[in-house]
Amino acid sequence: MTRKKTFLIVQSLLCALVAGLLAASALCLYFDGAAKQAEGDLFYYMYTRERVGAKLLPILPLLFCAFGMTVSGLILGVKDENADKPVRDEKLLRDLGSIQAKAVHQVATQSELYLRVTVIALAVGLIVAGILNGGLEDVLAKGATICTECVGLG
Amino acid sequence: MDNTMKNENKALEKKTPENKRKKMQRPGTRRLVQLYAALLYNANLKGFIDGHIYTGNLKATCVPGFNCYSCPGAVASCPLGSLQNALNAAGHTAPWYVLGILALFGVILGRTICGWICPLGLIQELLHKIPTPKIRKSHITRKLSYLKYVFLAVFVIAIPLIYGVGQGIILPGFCKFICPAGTFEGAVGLLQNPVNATSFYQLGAVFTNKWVIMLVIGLACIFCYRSFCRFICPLGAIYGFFNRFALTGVKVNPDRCNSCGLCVMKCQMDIKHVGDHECISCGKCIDTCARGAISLKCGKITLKGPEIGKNADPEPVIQKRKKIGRIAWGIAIAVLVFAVCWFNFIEPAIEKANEPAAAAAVTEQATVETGSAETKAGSETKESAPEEAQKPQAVAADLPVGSAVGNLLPDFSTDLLSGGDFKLSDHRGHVVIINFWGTTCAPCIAELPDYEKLKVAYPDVEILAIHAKAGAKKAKAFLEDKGWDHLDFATDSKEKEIMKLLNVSEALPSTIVLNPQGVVTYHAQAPLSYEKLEALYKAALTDDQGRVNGAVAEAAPEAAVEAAPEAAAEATPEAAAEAAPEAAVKAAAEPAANLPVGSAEGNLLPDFSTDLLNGGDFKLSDHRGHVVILNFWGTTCAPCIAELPDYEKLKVAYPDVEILAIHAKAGAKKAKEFLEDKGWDHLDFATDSKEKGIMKLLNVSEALPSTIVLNPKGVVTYHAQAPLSYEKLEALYKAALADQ
Repeated sequence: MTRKKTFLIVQSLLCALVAGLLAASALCLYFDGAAKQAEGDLFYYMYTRERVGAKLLPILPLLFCAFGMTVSGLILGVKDENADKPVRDEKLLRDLGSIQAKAVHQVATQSELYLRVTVIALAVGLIVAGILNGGLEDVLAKGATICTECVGLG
Repeated sequence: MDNTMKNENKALEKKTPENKRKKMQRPGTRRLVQLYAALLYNANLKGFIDGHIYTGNLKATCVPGFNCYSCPGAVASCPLGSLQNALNAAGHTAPWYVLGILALFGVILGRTICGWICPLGLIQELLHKIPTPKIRKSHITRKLSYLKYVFLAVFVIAIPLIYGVGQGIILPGFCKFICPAGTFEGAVGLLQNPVNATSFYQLGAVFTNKWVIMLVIGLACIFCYRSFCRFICPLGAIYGFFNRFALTGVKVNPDRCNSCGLCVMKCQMDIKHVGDHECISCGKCIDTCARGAISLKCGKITLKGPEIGKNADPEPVIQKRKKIGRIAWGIAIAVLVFAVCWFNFIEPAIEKANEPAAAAAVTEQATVETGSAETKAGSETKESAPEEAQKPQAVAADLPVGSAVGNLLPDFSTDLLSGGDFKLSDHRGHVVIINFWGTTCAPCIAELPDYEKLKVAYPDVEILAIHAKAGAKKAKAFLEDKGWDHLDFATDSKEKEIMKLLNVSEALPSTIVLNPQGVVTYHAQAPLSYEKLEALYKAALTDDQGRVNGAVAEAAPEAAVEAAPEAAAEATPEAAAEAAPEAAVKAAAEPAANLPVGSAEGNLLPDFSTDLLNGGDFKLSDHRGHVVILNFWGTTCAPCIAELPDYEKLKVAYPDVEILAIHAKAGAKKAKEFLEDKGWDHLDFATDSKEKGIMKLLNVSEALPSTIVLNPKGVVTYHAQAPLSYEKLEALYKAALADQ
């Protein structure tokens, strides 16, 4: 095994380890909290700044290590050489057929042009209709408050 | 592909600008555009510092790329989140606006958005730069690429429609269960700021699930190019529908193309043909094509064309394109600078934000003045008629005005949706619950029936549900068929004056519980079940009794020292003793006596004594020779309650340590009641005086829990406001023991 390959494998193991530990920390906090809440402690908070900090602290050295390896790898130009080569998957290539015929052509066909204009007109119409029916305010209302579902709080 | 073509391609490969750039390690135009877009989408940079999101009018528009609107920097909305929200509300408002925006973006840019101006695409590509063995595309990844249509159909369309239209429940499926942008930009972006520390309390199963998903996706992106984009992203799936006829995108000149297939074979996306629904128009194939058949076009304008090879564009054309490119970059940078200045310094919303703050200050002043008057009246009454002195106002007047637990909430009044008005001070003598909700906030809607249930069960409680956004008409329409007739509903103003006055976060739902004196006993951004609400109501009711008892029945600790904290921090042991005659500072006789007296680490803690709840008293100087841990807690402080079992565990494990848990508020009766069934029998409990004599003497912050650890010489080895785990406590104990 070459040094380059060893580097790549160590780096991938490190990345997997960091991600695994981060996931495990969250699961630990969650299951601990769930157990406490099941015991009847209604106001037990699963996550607090302190608890999260305590869980993250031991992972930090690994994270720095992975970051350091990434930076050194990029500087030294270490990478998987196969990644840039054309694919040779037989099953994949079988589907290719005539690229020339099926690719999106430089000059749009008449039907494509019509479709484009129609969709643009339709989109503008929809936006105007949406502004009139209060859709714009709905977007503003949602965007101007923290979306608790989006951030995983709700 | 014949050998001539192969050789032609190989020869060209060595000369491509892409290869030249790789050698120089310089970011290409596309990378710069990606960075630019990410910065422009998140131009509200001050949001990362102050921990608040941008709430201006631009949030009514959507950015083309994937960018969470709850990211502190985001200046516009996420198209996918808006779509789900619109579909959720499709029962009463048709989602024309968001559909129109998506169609417009799609037909003009198609999936060029994914390749050039999507911040999530940038993050994925940067992750893929991490040097590891890479998984290349294959027939399996091509099949997996259809998975994103399943995500689109199920999580973005079906779940919001079924729950929203069918059951009236707001459930943006993709945002809630999967979206890694929300977790990374929104949750991590907000939670990293100490201002949002209480938001941690809301985290539970949903966050854990999303956190794990984000990590899995992140890990996948390291090994497999743009995994999220290729297999999951519903936004990419939507734009993919428009890709074939989009105005902008990678196009092929059929006259030059010889169907060699190298463009498809070298492309990292799962395309079958250049420009199909999987093509993100990154333009790598332009440099790959030996025959110069591919170019990136916007209508008839060539944005990037072949520059090397026999079919390369003529030199003047390339030079002209470069010149236009430089002008475009100049304009783009000017726009970015303007956007950053606008959103961080000029935006009218900033001025508006300051106005209510000033209003709040005025209100606070007014309330404090009223409070003083009430105090005076209260004390006079107390002398003349002790039963009258039990009026709630008598005790609360001394408290600071604010919205934190233990503060007196500023007074405000608002019009109710049902007519009439609600003035907070009119409801003194009752437990008041103020709930902030929104029609687009699923957890808010889910918990409102529990408030109704509470009001029915305890008619004495006053519940005001404030719709966090202006628009009484919309709120009324929403509430029409809900049957929550026992609750008082109101809406905040457009400038969110009440929310700003009460320091309520934009994260909904938010709830403030006040005891009958108007003192905050709970304030957090978290959905509450009926059981929790009932517990909070009862705690607030008892909190009043505790305070009254503490004030009237002289339950305040006798030996509470009322020295000013600054004196405690600076005074010598003699001065401290002088300032607090009852606090005999023994330090002068101890080896550590030459240390300054104070509560900072390395200082000699001033002596004090206090009555214990279980009888007897605790004098600090009596415990020299032992590690002493002083913990300040409150019955309404969840992190305090959570950590107390760890103190008990420590005391059991190390009987030599002296632990005094001081209830930060007066009211021995309440504290005793609370502790009755807890089984923390090894700890010493006490309460501070009404004037918080001990806390002031020891310079302990209002933010609970607070802990001070002393070494056997009485020197402070730790003093902070943070909940402590058992491990940390044990470490602190051992460190203090060793610190002699």
